[in-house]
Amino acid sequence: MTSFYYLFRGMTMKSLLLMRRYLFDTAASLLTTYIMFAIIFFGGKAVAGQAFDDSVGNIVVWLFLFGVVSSAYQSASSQIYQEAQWGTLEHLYISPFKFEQVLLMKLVVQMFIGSITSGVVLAAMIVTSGKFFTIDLVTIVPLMVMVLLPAVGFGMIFAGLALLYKRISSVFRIAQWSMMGLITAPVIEYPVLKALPISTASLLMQQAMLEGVRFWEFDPTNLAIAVVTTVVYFGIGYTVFGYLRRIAIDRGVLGHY
Amino acid sequence: MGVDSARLSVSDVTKRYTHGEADVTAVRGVSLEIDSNEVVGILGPNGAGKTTLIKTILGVLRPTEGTVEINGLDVHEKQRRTYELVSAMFEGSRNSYWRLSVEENLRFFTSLNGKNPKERTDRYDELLEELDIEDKRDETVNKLSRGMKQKVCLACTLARETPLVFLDEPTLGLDVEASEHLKTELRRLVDSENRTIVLSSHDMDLIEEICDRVIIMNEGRIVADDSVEALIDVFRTESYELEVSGLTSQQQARLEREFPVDAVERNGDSTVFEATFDDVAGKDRLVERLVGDGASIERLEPVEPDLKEIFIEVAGEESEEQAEVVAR
Repeated sequence: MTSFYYLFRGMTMKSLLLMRRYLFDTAASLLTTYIMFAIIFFGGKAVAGQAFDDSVGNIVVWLFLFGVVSSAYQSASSQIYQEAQWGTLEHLYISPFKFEQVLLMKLVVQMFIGSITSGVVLAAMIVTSGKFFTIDLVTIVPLMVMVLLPAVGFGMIFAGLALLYKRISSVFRIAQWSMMGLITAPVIEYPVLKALPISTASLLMQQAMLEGVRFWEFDPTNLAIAVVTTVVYFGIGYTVFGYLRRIAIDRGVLGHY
Repeated sequence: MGVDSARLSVSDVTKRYTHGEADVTAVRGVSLEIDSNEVVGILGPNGAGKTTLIKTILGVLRPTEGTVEINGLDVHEKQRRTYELVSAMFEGSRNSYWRLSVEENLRFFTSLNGKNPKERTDRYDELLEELDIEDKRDETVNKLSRGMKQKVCLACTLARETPLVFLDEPTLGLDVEASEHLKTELRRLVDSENRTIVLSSHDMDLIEEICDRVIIMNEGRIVADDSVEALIDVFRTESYELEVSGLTSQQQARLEREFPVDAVERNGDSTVFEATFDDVAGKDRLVERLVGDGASIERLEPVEPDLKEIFIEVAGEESEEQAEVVAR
């Protein structure tokens, strides 16, 4: 009997083995995120002084979310591209799991590992900034899911494009900045922005971490919007990937690099 | 696994690609049936449609027309269930993760099939021993030679333990020694593991040595489909090689005029001839003549056509050059 558990375990083991085997690369990526924060933190402090101190909490939360979100959607397309390059993509396709499920599992593993590594960077940022946050797991975990699933949806769209066009790195850079825009979207000033993916869940995450608001204390409308946008954008991503996958099969470009 | 055999049915499959405004038809109306525990070789010149056919069978390409079924399940409609039955080694691909060790690859490919790698350790021992790579178990694949890498690919494909296995050009890029070794291992696997194997290759020795049945493709069509022996029978002619001594030069000249023989080698008193007759009586007449001339027949052997000649015959003249390259 096939089992998602063994697929999850196999993919997690593979990712962890590669992280351990290429420790320098792993450490460098953690350090890069921290250095990005340090530049913003010390640079902002030098330029804006007290005004910056007031918003440092938001910046830490944004960078944390950005790290996790990036690991989710980036890994989708980059892994499709890599697998095509390595000549292993077809093997993932002819597994007894649906290709969408294999990709989703890859992303879940990547997010799982990404959340741990982002947690390490978050700890370093907290120590550097001296700004402590409320980390109530009952509140944080579901919010993390709401932040990540739309990112996974985006990731699946990029993965589908990568199936068809392989190199999509130029689109990727634009998407990177768009993600930052969604995380930091001023949804309180412009409520219409709540309909965008990630933005409402990001707002709730900031309220939870900076103001200690617990899950059941959130504004029900905001919570409902966060849930609906999560489901809708993830669903769109999953469906679009399936559509692009079928085009790739029809055109015969799956695995072509 | 529950299923230990697989029957493949390909019905009228056509695959057309659109390149700009032009359509290219890679596979044209191919139909075939492959029963369980058969070893089938697909031969064909470059561009014959072998890889396209295999990818279409595997569901990696969608046929423009026709259907592919494995154990009665449509490959495109019932992907999950059919992919429990098939594994493949694709042409020109790494087919394994070069940054993982050999055993880590085996474990990963087992989990990709939704199975517990811990329960397969004995199977890994067996596979690595059969393929003579047990001492490379903990080596990362990128450190191995090309031949070893190819064996790792084969091991990863077999680690999925499916009843139907596709091997697209398994000896491609291997040197003669590695290729011979892989052939031996494949034959042993075929004999000991009771699987249905579909091989696509340019390597005719490989096909001739290990396949029960040969499908020859040309220009997207199947142009021959039979056992190696049956194909050889079909193309067998009344051709002989004979070594004769004691013939005078006048007798030899007369012989070459009156019979379809050619002297191909002369060593002192002995001459080697090649002769091809329309029927078996032709050979008998030649023997009578030689005996009548007082010559001594040192050797008389039928000349069997080999797969290369059959391939050239059915796949057309354009394949001759390719067959020569393969033979070299």
